[in-house]
Amino acid sequence: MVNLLDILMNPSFYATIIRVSTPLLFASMGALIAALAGTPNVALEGIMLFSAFSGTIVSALSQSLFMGLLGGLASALMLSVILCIFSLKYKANIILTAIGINILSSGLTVFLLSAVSGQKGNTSSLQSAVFPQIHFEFLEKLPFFGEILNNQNALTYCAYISVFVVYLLIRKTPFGTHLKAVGENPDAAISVGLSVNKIKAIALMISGLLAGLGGIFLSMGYISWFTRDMTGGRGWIALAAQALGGKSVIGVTLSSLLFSTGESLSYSLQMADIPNELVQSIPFIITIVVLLVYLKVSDSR
Amino acid sequence: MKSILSIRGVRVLTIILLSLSVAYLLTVFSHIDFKTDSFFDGLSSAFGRTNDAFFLFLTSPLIRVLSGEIHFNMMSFSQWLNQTTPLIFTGLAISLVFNIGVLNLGAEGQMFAGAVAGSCIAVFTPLPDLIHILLIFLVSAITGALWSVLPAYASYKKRNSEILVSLMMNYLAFYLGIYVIKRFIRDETSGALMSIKFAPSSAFPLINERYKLHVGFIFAILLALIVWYLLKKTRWGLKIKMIGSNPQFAEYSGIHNKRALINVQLISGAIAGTAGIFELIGFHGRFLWSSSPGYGWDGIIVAIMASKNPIYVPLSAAFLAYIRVGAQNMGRYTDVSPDLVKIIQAIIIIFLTTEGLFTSESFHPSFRKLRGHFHG
Repeated sequence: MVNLLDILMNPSFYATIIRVSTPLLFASMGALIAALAGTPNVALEGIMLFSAFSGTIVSALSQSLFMGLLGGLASALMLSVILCIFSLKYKANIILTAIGINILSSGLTVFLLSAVSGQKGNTSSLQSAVFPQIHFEFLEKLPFFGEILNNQNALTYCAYISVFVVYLLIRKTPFGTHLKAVGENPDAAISVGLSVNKIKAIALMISGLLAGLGGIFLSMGYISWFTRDMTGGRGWIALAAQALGGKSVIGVTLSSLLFSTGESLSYSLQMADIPNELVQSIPFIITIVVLLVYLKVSDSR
Repeated sequence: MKSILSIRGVRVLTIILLSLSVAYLLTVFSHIDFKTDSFFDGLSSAFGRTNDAFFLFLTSPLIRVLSGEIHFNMMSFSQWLNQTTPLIFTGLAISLVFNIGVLNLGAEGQMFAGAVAGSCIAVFTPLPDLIHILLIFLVSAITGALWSVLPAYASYKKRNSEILVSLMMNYLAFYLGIYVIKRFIRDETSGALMSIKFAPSSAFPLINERYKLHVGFIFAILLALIVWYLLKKTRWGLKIKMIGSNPQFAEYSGIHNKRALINVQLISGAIAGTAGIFELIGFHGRFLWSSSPGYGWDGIIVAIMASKNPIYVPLSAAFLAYIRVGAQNMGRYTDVSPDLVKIIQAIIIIFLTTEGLFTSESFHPSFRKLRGHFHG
């Protein structure tokens, strides 16, 4: 029997939080940028999945990590462009188009998987590249925290760097200002000469590229193969994290960490008597409550 | 000059044909063997194998060819009708909320929660047969409706906020549902996650004993007629369509319309809540979903193909179930992945929701001028 206190005292529990937060942080930063532009990106799930797939396949075919990265990002960009064309140019409902893209991604990855590798479930027979773990000498001397922060995957560090980059992008660049203008008041944005669709399109593409990095981590980071539907709802959870965190980078980061804590706890608790379904549902309950309270408060103002 | 593609039915059929063609070409392409000496031999063999696979895909729910003779395929036919049933329910549920202009995408969770609650009732004995079944449906429907309360409240407060709340409710339904099954009615003797067997009094009438064709689809079609009547022939339905086509109308025209907004979503939740239970009491006789079966998501494409009109929902559900069953057979007997169906679905959703595409407005101005020239 595992004791909850034992789990909480164990640095590997926190190291797992950091690890599982990688795809979530990338995707929720993507969700944030899209939300700021006023176009929720419901296609994150499908984009992550497709990037995870094409990253593995391209890196296996080219035997190059870099090409795999490029392949994954290119496919993320491709799906984002499809989303933009249908929803912005041809005015389809962006939510429904995005759901279509998610289904497309789920089907096309499995179809191409069996066409390329002859396998139905995963690519474990392919020799695909993996991002390395990074070892920091100076962290070795740090007790507890050193163990948590050291020897994570290169992409994990990138995810935390991407949080800063997104923060700077939103706060310090003209694009960030335009983004918020378009999201909050499109009419005003038009009146000062901004092209709303162009800014929304750029936001959706950045959002897709970030989600793509999250997907690449899934199949080329902690594990080295692709399995069908391996994103397991992380794209949706990223949307929840964004909804919970609001429109601030810090808020979204914290709420992503909350969801990651739930995931990490559910792994640790598999040995314990506490049912992990209940643990995993807690972040969703919190999100729903926060959303509803927010709606109630903003209404009575 | 109105384009022929702006006629709804023609548009739907065109897009279905387009999606099937794309799927066909993808399959051909995936079968081309680049290692053969002659490219054209490889190409013709790829076409041959694709044709075989697609023949199975498109005919197997109805017929089976055994040594040159054509037989009626009762097994797949039963599967087809059984799979149509939940899709009609979720299709109706989604059509309802689409009619009032709300994107409540919670049908998946409502269906799952309803099925779990219904299963908890189904394991109880002894109850008189008919009363037991009615009670199961009642509990499933109420659970589904309850699962719709929070998204409905959100949409009442602020437009579009129901999207996220309903998505979160789907996850909640899954995790809590699996917990309830594990905690209360799990079959401990089985390695896989499933409930204990349902009580015999919960068993649903069967039309075909051997392939377990149950009567669910009859109820589903009746319900489609009822919903169609409510929506198209009553004042209540008219109100819903007015709210759906003009959200500001609901905002400023008082409490009765806001109440309609909530009511529609509760009814939709109740319908979605019963979508899954048919399959469990009619076919499996126990709860055995370890992942969410996806009927709620399918309801979205069914509703879109039916142009959110309940009368077309059975037809579009039947189409989706048909290609599903066909693809399962194709996946069993050929090397083409049944996931091809998802690609077809995706193309249908993306193109059908794009109202501006394929209608005269979407053509490039110079095209339009050209067409105008031809048509005088």
